[in-house]
Amino acid sequence: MATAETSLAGIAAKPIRRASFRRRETSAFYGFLSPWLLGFVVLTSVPLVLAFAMSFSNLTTVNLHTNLRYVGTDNYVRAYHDHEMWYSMQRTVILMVTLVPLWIVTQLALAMILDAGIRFLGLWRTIFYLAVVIPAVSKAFIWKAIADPDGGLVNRIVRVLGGRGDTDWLLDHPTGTLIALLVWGGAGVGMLIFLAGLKSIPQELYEVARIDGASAIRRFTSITLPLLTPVIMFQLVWGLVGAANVYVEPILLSSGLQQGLGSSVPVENVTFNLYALQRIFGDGDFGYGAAIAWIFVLFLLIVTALVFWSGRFWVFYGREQHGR
Amino acid sequence: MTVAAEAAPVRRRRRRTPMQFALRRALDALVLVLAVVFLAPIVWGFLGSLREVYAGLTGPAIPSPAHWDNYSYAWSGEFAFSHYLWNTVVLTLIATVPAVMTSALAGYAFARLRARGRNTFFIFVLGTTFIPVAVVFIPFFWVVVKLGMYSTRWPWLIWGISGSAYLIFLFRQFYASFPTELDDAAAIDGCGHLRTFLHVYLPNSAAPLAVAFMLLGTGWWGEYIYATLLLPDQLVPLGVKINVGYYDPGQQFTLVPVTLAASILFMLPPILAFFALQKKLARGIVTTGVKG
Repeated sequence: MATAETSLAGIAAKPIRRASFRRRETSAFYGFLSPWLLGFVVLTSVPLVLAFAMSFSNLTTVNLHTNLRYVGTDNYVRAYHDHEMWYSMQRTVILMVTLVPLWIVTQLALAMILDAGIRFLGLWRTIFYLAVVIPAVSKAFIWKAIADPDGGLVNRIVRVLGGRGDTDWLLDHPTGTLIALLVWGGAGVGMLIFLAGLKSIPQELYEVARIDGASAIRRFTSITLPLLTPVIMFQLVWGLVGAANVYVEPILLSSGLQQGLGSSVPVENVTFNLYALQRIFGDGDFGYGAAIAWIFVLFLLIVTALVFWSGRFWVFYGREQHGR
Repeated sequence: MTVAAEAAPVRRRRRRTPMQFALRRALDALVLVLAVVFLAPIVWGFLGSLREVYAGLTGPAIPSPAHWDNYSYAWSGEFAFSHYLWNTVVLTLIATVPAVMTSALAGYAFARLRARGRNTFFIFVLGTTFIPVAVVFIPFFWVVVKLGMYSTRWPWLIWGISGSAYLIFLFRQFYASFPTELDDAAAIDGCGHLRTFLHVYLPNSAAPLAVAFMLLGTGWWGEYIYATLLLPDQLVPLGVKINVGYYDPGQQFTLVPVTLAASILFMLPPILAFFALQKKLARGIVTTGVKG
């Protein structure tokens, strides 16, 4: 920043020209951001305001043109007494607390293995990342083929090991199947991010620790982990938001959408997001769906704020100055 | 020694003790097991796609004979596969190509242009990624209908033009570490900000461009919900058609092997793109890096 300033001063010798350069820079800045701003206004901010207004109305598909009125906090009160809503929130929390640790541990373990000077690094990296590029529809069909009660891969393995192997995984353990799919499908990106983080740790630290006789475990807990905490924080926040927003995979893992969006999803896999969508597109209950969605926003806001706040106790920022 | 110890980084080449040699072998074995675990689902889906049409997933683990005709049935049996493949290509391109460009431009602005409110604005952009889909979903529909864009491809183009906050972040990180000497050289040559971006920054961004295309492109390639809700049958992408599944002539039950064959065909283009961009991709993620 400082170097750019001095070099610019060199070019624009006169202070007046320099000021106009500044103004040009500001207008260029906002000009360059205008495509994003346009999209944000049309696709996000207008819908966001409308959603907020809707949540205080009795809007449904039926009374779109007649009898539409302000109902105060009725929708929020209704949500408070809605057991299914609380259940869907519970399922979302379960997804968050299982998926996020599984993701971080898998991603970090894979990154550390790749960082250990292994042969054919490129090959392994490709294999671990491959699932990320597979479209969700294909992923879902593949996992249906794995979870199938008769000829599925899991039951075949169970049978080989001497078990009965007749479990219908999609019906009896829908959340387990969902979590397996998401861990497999979501490990790759985080692995590369952790790998980049590992590469940025100065090698001298390990050298010194080795000379001091630190064991491999000690080197991991005293060097690798603390220096990776900013990356872990990043992955933690993205993981939590990602896990909270799961709703496509449950729909795709259920038998289809001929009867409406996700109406055949097993109740264990109806996440908070999906529950809101079902109220909206299944029941045509716009006002109520919007209220639930806003409760979800509030919930996610509190969770991420808590995580960011907790960072001051465990994230190690070293010597660097950090703005955020 | 525990597994954690084996996995710990051992980077310097030095004389190997028998212990280290054993650890190395254990690490090789571990990575092989993990690779099998990660590949197994894909291989299993592929094996399933070669089973007898009416057999479901039963039969020997490796089907013999292999029914390759499932693939030709997937291509032409139930619907015009190529038509919907083309739809997918169009939707992916109009949503991805402009998005990568505008995100790169915005990332450049955040990294290099000094303007009032820049940092606040950046935090704001990042904050928008936390807005969950469900909350903007219905009103978004209303907006789309009001603008006369229902059952057209226009929303995809608007998504494309508006870019992605995640990619803006990615490009900003990358451009922030760019040498500033290039800016000065461009400024002396009389380049404005836009020309500096187009002629200096963009040509040197192969790695983050590859990452951006791959991340966003694969997402749009497999996008399912918006396409289902917004588009009429002749415009929907392949994923929507495949998810309905393939049925026997009496529409009684799903032809699982054919559906799997279609799923495999559907995932081939992104996989091939990934192989083609591989090298740049790995480098891109490393150089763009992440700081919390």
